[in-house]
Amino acid sequence: MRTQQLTALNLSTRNIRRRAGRSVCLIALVALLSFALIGGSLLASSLKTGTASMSDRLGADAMLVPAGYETKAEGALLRGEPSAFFFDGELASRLLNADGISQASPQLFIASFESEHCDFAVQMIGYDPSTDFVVAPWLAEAVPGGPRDSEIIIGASVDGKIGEVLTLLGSKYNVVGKLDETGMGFDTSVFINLDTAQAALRDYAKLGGENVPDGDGAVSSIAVNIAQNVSENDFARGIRYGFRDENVGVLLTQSMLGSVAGNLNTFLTIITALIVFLWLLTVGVLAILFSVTLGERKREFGIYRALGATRRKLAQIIITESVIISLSGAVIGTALLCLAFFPFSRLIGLSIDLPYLQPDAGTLAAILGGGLALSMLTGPLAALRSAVKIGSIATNSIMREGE
Amino acid sequence: MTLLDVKSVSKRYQRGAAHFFAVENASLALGAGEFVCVTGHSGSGKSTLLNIIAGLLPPSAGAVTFDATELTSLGDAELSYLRNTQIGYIPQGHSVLANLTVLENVCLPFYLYPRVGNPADRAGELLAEVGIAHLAHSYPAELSGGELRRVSIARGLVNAPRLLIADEPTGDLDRRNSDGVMELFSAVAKSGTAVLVVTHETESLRYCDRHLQMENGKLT
Repeated sequence: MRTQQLTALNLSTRNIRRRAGRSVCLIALVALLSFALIGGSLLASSLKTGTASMSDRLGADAMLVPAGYETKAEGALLRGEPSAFFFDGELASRLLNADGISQASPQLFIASFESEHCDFAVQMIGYDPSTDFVVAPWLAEAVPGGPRDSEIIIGASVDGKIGEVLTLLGSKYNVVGKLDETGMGFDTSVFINLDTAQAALRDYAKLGGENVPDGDGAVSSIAVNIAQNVSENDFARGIRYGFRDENVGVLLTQSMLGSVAGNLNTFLTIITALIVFLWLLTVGVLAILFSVTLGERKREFGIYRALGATRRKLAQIIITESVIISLSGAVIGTALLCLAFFPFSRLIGLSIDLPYLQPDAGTLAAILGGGLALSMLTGPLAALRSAVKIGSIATNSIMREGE
Repeated sequence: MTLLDVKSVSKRYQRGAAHFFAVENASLALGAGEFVCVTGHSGSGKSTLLNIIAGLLPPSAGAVTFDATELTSLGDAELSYLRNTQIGYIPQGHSVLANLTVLENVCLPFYLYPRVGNPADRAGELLAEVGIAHLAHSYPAELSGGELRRVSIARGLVNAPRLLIADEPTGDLDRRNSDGVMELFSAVAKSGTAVLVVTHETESLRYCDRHLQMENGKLT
């Protein structure tokens, strides 16, 4: 005759199987915690990475845009919302030479639209590679020297490959580069040089685009670095006053970043509070369930005690059970999270009005590992009190039975 | 030679402002192969005395010595090990684990400490001795009260203890099953194991070598 060796692990596994319904509920609770913990952390980390990326990419102190279009410009930069707004060429020249500027470069935003003339609706951003200091440095990583005429660099989320020809506003463009993900509007934008952008603007006007100024040299915005001896507020005030008749608006990058950071902080605070609440709730519920179960099982543990099990052995059985439950729940929750999060990461990013960029592999591994470990700790932590109490409870149970 | 020596053992409890003795100044000596029965009414302190002897409960006064080792001098680990290796304890009522088979229940005390070998053969022999070898792979839910009691007895003997303690082993059994259980204890005692049984059934006393009476915590 043979029997399976009855180790603490084996006994615990059998106890869990015997109370299948209860065990499934406990595992589901830990899985939910693990899902929320890791999901929340991934979301928070992606938003932080997105904000950091945006901060790195927005190398200008300010953007000069037609007054009233500040929100549209912000939407184009942060979320890639196709927008079109313009200064005429003469005003653009004057703005480039305004007081308080140490560096300036024009950009032209044109929105393509769903029609037979465009492969898709996208934000086209024209920039001047010879003066640009905002996007040129990192665009040069994809295409040294930047795009030439009729060439296009596409954002990470734009559907297209290098070597492909894309039709936008009725003209054809050769894709010469594809950018890495940035977590901001640049991911859904395409980049062309300023001469190509001027031609695209004419296409845009021909196809019915509105508000296109007459004459050459129209631009949408001017990226500006403010002179060292001028404060941002003074510069903004000076521009608004000096160009009050032309309606020029000033979008200060720090203020835009500050607003994003403020939204992000609120978001992170809510996520953190929810995670802490859920964790405490899970530990509390598990602790109550373990305690209730202990009451039901005191006779069983009393028998172990009568047979010579030490208090430590009983605690070991309880802790092993809680570890198995936690581990199962944590692994299931993490696996479900991976299935739900990674395939739809881009979609999640697009649905949030904040810069969103998935963190690097090391950070991802740390979040997954940390979340898994913390979820796994939940069970043993909740079972600790029961494990400590079980020795005396079990002994009392056996003794009371006899009197 | 004395295997178990219980000397002037008392267990005092407090209920409200009043103190009372569950066991008062009880003394008892038991040699190897001796079969002793303790009878008494419910609440007379029989089980408390057994729990003190098994090392599950410390006495308020007095001493319990097992094979020259004073039990109160031992810590939980040593006491538990002594109970596992030297004392076979059969608790009152149904005391088998529902999620283990009969054979696994009998083997359980063996597995509570690291040991070499497989206890299944010995467990099988014990099950045969108590007449339920055919139920080795059944689960407790499939067994009758008498059969469950036999499982507990086989389990109490699996580590070849020198002292077997049984608390009301025939409590819920009919006469035929009670006799079968007491005959088993008698056989165990004859093989050299000291047997101490607590019971309230006077019919069972004919099987034991010595009979002690417990009343209001006092052993006479």
